[in-house]
Amino acid sequence: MVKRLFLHIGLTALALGSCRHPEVEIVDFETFHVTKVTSGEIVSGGSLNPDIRLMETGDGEETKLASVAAIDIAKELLGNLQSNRLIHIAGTYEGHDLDGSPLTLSGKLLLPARGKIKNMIIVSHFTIGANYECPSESFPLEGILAGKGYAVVIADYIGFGVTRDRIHPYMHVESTARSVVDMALAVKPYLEHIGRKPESEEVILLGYSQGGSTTLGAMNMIQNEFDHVLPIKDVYAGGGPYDLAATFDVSMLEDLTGIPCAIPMIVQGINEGDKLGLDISQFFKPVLLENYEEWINSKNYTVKQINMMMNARSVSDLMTDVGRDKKNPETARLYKALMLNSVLHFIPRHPIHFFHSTEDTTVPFVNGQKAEEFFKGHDISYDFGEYGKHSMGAVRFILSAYKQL
Amino acid sequence: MKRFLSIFCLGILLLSCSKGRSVTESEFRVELTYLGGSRVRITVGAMNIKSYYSYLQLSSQEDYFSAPAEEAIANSVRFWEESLPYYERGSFTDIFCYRGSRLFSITGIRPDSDYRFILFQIHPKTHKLIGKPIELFYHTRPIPSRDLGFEVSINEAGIHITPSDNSLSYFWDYESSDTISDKYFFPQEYLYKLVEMYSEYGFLDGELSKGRDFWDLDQDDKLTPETEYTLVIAGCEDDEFTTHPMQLRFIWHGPGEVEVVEGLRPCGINI
Repeated sequence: MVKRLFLHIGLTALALGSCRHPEVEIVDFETFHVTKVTSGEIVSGGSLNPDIRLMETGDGEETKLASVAAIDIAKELLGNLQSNRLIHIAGTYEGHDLDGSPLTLSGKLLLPARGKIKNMIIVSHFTIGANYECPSESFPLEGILAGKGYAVVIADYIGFGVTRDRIHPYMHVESTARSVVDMALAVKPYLEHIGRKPESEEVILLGYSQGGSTTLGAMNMIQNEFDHVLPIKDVYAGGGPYDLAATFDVSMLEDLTGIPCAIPMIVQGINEGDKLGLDISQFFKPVLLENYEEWINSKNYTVKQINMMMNARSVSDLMTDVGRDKKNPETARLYKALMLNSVLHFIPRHPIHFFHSTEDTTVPFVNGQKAEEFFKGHDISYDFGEYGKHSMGAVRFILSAYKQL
Repeated sequence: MKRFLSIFCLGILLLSCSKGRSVTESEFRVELTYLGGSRVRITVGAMNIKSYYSYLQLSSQEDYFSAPAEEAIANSVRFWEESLPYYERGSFTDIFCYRGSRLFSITGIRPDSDYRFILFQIHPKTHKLIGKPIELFYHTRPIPSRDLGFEVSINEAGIHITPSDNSLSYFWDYESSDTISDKYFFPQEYLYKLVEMYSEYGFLDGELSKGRDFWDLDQDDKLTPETEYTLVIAGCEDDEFTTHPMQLRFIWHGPGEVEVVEGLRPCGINI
């Protein structure tokens, strides 16, 4: 069945066109002005390149499916996706800064070259490290959904794209979800302006990992503020750290993390997003304290590269004893902020499809279980199974959504 | 074990074949791993991660508390089936059943009361009970009701809290009113969740106060000018609240400028 699915997608992708260097329009979504047209460039030898963004977590990609590693499946799939049959539009729009003030942000819109557009799919992207991986600069894996007749909208979070010089408020739900929703609101009139208004007003939300959490944050935000403008049809959330405090505490208790760079990224991101004013030197060990600006905030390195430079597997390799001490009031403040940035405390008014691999060691399966326990009794489906590690889960999740859409 | 009552049940559920699809018998281990006054944690160990199960939690005030387990289960399943047409996407098992080992944290229960927990395996298609349910009876801890009041004053210097009894511990916190209402709807719900989280992850003892307390608002970088905050406070011992939660609302206009817009009053009671 899985092979049939891959075959189906492969054939669909093949039918999409013949060029691997798509033209990318650079647009101001507010004014509708096309400011530039560029050609996607492939960086040879890189594990990721600006043309194709895959997920990497440093989990080794040991898990195989049908004797093929996840990354090979995805690369083959995307290699076959001859993307000049998709229209690539990178652009800017007026979003919101952490304090709610206006801020110009960027993102990517992908459209089928011709034919009617069914719905807008609002994608929240997964964890990246390098700026060249961000949606406006790359072809995200989720973009394959455009080939099925959807307008795929993928915002760069604050800290990427045109705001790459800013600290990325990693896992800060309000600001990341706000960027996602702001871009969808900006793209909607743009689609109408270019004559590609979707047949249905209803939108579909989708995201994996960090994007899974952000997707639930965006869903809550849309339900509360924009339900009439962006009525939700369906939500696909996969492999997300929905309960951030539980996720962080699993790493603290086991002194182990499947994605070492996420530890400082969470501490810094929540500290930045919530203006906690934490003294980072209380939390980061000297080697991390001396290097995190270059490793993380330079946005020059992918997640895998950062993890390699960190050369750590345990939380205690990265965080000080004081930072891990549960009698430390500053650590308690961090946990409170993690709780407030968890995304399960709302009542979903639309269907959600949850996906999580029980073998996920990067974002532990406890997150899928927490989501299920919290939302039990609501109109939600759960696809939990032995779907490999986190990266393999990403491919399975997107392919599963591709099949259902 | 101090504060923990651990009850262990092992049940082997026999069965079963129904018309069409057969469902293998499964074994579940059910353990009460935390027994408090207002919440319990129950661990379910599922030997077969593919088996569907569900549970009922019945208080002694409910009709089916004393009924045979099979009858209580049949009543619930019938209700679930009747409500199924109102769902668009989720299947019966998605909406009402679980698979795999779990830690259930059950909150909002009454102290010093009898409860009955029934775990049962269920056929995913026919919704029939498979095997024998596993039952757990427990009595929640009494929570001492303390005669503890608070005086809270907020001025340009900060927050001053004076409890009526310096020997009793209490918990307090404040957060923006919008955040509380967006995520938790009510201040007391926010307070319960925060204390539950601190309790679960081992922070709570360090976060309790005794005697007079003071907080300098100027040391809080998170405060946003012209924003309303809600302070919540309650007596707290052994991970449980010993007084009714109280709340107070204030607006932080900026450094050194604070305005109390609603004085201390019981949560959940509109005056």
